[in-house]
Amino acid sequence: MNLARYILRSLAFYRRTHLGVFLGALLAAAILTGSLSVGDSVRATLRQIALSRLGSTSVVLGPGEYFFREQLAAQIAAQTQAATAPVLLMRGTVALPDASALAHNVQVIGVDERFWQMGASADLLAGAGEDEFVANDRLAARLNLKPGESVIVRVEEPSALSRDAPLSGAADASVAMRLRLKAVAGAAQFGRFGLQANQVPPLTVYVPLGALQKNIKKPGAANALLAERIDAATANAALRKAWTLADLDLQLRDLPGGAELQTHRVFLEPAIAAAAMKADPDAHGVLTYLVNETRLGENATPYSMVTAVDGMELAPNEIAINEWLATDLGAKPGDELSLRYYIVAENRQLVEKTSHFKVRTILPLERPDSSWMPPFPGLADVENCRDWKPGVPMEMSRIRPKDEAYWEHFRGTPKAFIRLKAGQSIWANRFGNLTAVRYPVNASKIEPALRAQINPTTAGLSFQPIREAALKASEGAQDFGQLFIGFSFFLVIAALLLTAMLFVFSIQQRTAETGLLLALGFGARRVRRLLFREGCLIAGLGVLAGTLTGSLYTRLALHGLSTVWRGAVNISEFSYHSEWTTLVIGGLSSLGAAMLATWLAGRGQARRPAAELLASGAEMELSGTARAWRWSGVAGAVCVAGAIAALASGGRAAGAFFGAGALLLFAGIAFSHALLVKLSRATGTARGIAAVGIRGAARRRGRSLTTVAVLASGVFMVVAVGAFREDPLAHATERRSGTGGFAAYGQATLPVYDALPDSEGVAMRMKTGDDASCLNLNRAQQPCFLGVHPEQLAGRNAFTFIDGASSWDALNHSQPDGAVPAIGDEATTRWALGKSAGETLEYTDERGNAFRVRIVGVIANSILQGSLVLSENDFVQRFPSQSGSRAFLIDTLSSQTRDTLQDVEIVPAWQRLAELQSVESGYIAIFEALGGLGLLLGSAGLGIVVMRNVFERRNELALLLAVGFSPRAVRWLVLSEHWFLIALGISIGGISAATAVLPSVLSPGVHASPVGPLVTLSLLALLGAAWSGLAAGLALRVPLLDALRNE
Amino acid sequence: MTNPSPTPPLLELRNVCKSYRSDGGGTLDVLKNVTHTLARGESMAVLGPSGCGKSTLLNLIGTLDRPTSGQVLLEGVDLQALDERGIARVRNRQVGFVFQLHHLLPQCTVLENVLIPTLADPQSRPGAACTQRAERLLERVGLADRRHHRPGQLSGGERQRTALVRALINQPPLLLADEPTGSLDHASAESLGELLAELNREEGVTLVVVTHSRELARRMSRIYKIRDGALEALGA
Repeated sequence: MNLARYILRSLAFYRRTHLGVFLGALLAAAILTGSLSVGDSVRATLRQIALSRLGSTSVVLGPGEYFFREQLAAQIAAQTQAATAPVLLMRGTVALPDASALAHNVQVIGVDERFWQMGASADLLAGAGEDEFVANDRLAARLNLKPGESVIVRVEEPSALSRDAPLSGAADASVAMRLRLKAVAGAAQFGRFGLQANQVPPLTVYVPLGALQKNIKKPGAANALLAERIDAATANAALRKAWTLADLDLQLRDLPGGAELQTHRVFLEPAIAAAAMKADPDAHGVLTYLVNETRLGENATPYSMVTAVDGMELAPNEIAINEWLATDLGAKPGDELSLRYYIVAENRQLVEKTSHFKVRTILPLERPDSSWMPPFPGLADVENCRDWKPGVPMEMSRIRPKDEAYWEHFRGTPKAFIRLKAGQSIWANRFGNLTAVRYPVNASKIEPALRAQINPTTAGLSFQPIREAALKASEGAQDFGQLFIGFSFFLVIAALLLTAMLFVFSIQQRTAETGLLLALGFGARRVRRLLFREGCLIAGLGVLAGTLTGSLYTRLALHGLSTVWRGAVNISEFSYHSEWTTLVIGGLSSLGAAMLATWLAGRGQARRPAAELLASGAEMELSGTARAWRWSGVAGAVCVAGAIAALASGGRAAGAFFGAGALLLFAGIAFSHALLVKLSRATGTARGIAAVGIRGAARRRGRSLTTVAVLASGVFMVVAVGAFREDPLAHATERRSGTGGFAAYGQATLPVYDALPDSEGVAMRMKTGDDASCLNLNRAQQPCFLGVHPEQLAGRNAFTFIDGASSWDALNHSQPDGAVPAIGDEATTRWALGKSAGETLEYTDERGNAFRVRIVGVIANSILQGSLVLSENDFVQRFPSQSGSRAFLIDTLSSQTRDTLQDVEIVPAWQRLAELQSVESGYIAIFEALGGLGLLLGSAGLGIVVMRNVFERRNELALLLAVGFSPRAVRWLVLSEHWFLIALGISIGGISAATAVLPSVLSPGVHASPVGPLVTLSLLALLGAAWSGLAAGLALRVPLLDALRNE
Repeated sequence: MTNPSPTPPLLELRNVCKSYRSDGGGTLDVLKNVTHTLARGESMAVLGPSGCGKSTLLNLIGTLDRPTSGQVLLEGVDLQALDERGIARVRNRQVGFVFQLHHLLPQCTVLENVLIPTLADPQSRPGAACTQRAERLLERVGLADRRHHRPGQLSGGERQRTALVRALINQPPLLLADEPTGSLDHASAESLGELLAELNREEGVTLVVVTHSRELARRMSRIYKIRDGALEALGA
């Protein structure tokens, strides 16, 4: 005989009693391990999605502002031996021909067979005609498309020059294609392809590369290049060898006596211009601009090219004019001319400015030399002045026959020259301050020097490690394992409490055994240790079984997440995955928790004298000292005082109310203890059966208090959290609400260049990136940025800053360390990016330069979720090619606004807010469901308590029957005690929860209805009453009088 | 030449009082200044009506309860002065207890029940010697063939004999029996009484028996009665 044998004997003998403990531990372990495995599964699913959307792509070049040669792909493949695929990646819309359905923000990709090889087993476009396309399954489902059906695909016609730039040509050039569906690509056919980290695949149209190149007038061009199985450094090294000037949209041409570097983008990008100037010591910059009017007194010449260049003897305020202009104006040296020209001000508004120059000299006009004029779209390529479409308002009526004649003979030959610095001071803009660089040597000589000086990667053409970023993002912005532990917290606690309570019952059943062991010379500590070991063994077995069956809980949770709680994750299918380490951690944590529960349950054992324990079965003495009553009262009063202090000092801060609510919960439990002590000391005559029953609650104070505490805590958590479910319709018209008081939110697939009147809303620039809202489970690596004029939002006092002090003006305040100030929604900054106010993040601008963003303000839950908001100025500096506006906060939809935003997807602001809140609502729904299950378990525990109490008191209940009480009266006696406990628990939980959620009820933007919590409370009360009624019924069904006879 | 110091009595009660607080705020004196000594190998029976304090006296001797005042000395050691561990050692090594209800562990066999007290001391590990002694004692009380049975498979008399062997397993000098025949039929009670007397004689175990049974009491060398909280000798 040894202790182990004794424990095993006890386990086997009391197996029925221990079954409850085993099941409780099993449940706790299954929930805990299962919750952690939910995290593993979500991560694995996100990883799977990430890999599925990239295929075998490891690095990607673009898509950026450059359209480079398609051959670059083959050249890099040849150098690196890695498979590559050139891609044209555009944004567009897809509509059914009868306009009955329209999909916005569609990814339109021009691909060839190399693309499919990276992610699909077959080329779905093999043999496709130019008018055929493949849709991914999401788009096909959205538009209900079947093979053979036609759609209209519209994409923006790319412009080399940002359409925000002055003289960028026509603004709203888009290309429409009528295409016929050839096939639908599912996940296995690369149908999830996308470069942005999001678990929701984009809507995608795949078209033959050549067809798209032709349609957007970019033959042989691509704007993205995928490469597999190489790292970014290797790919960039290969790029540096293979790139040509054309890939950066640069043209080097021979001119008489030298060569000139220019670009279709009109303005040389500053980094390239600087490098180009270094290519030759005698290089000189050129800036040619269209001047609206050159005037001398009453004489004016419309629309002339003026070139700023060094090399002439001119003072900063002097101008050299050709003899044609001198004749036209009647000007002579010494005359002061005024030059009127457009510059682009804020909001893409054109502002006409005037500068004055003194005529220094008059130049002969011997032959045309339009080489000074950069390739202005709409000017350089037209024969006749009347066909000019430079993208700026022109008064064609002012063009005279002699102007036509000049254009015919001399084209864009400048009519005047000024010094370069003078020109740059008035015409430089964010796109550059040179339209060309000239060299005194010919092109073939300068080209190697130019290639050596210009680094394509710093100019914005560089490979990025997309696979690495995707896998990093798939680690998730949220650890769903921890999240689910949070959601299941009450369920786990309920299971552990049940374990502890059943273990206590099991020990109490063996009180005499405890007494015997003490009488036989076992020390009290040794007895407790024996019980603890026994409890641990049962719990350990339960935990082992629970850890192994935790996958059931995980699968149930994943099923819930992909169906009823789908709003929380936006994933329709999960793959189950569980790491060994997770099982070990979950198992050990559960074991620890179960051991703690059994230790807490057993620690009070063997404290009573052995003789008393041996005499178990005798009447239980109601013990309760005045001291215990006083201390409980004092503890309760201290908690109430703390709650009042928290409310008094915390203002309307939600944290203060929640803290006060929690303190009231503790106070309620402490007062309940005092009440039970008081009841145990009651000496007056109880009036009625119910009073006797209620007094019975004091007999097992610990048991009764546990019942009250479990119910109160459960009610507190479920009701308090449930009250945070927000109604997006409530207060939606208020400026301080999550809608910002705006009526609608618009998002354009193609940029909108027309200004939105300030009275009708706010137009914002947008740099597409990873969605940093709660809707994206991936951690955003490069979030979406919005550019806004801060004063437009500040003037409206739109949205609420969570610190109550920040304002939109903070976007205009430059940071001492050069960081870019940004404002974000709380869900974006805190949860998606993991940052708070004052912290900085590192990002890369579109030219590949790193820059830091500092969060200078955080706004409460809003329709701006998912993006970081920068000032317009900062935005255009970092993302100069992002032209026009693509996001709109709309106050009113006047007919003018409607026209301006006709191709914009507009949704009511409250609807967008509701969509963004769906994640939070989903989380709350999960918490409520699992919390509800916890309460169900807790109330089942109440049923067990009832049965146990009846069992323990069956003799006295039998006595009541023997002396003439009816069975109904006896049942009422039992129920009154337990319904009293239910009422106490629910009241305490309800009152403390109501205090905790008061600010959410009162705050703007939140409309918490009392109906939901009241329904929850009523259901709970009914459930508790039903459980206890059922348990009492079952327990009292046993013939009680037999018990009396047996005694 | 000095006289050797006299051997202390096995058990000595010095002015032992035990009182309980009553509901009305007063006290109920159960034992009043009980003074008594018991030498090794003696046996005594304590008689008295229910509630007179017989079991209380036994519990005080067996350290299951503590006196309100006075001293209980076992082999000259004041039990009041012992800490919890010391008391546990006394219960385990110096006192054997037989209760009216046998309190056998239903999950263990007869042999295992007997060996339970050998597990009490965390420092010592029960060896084969303990098992042999248990088997010898079981044979002595006629339960050799029942040693692998569970308590539920035994008769009342067998259970009580098992409890008796359990009380003797650690060879305590003092055996306390609280109404040992109270729940037995006449034949079983007779048999157990005889066994107790034999053990007292043959094993030299000092015996204190609390009983209502005069037949059992007569088997003890001294008989006492508790009246008004005092121990009165009735005869030998």
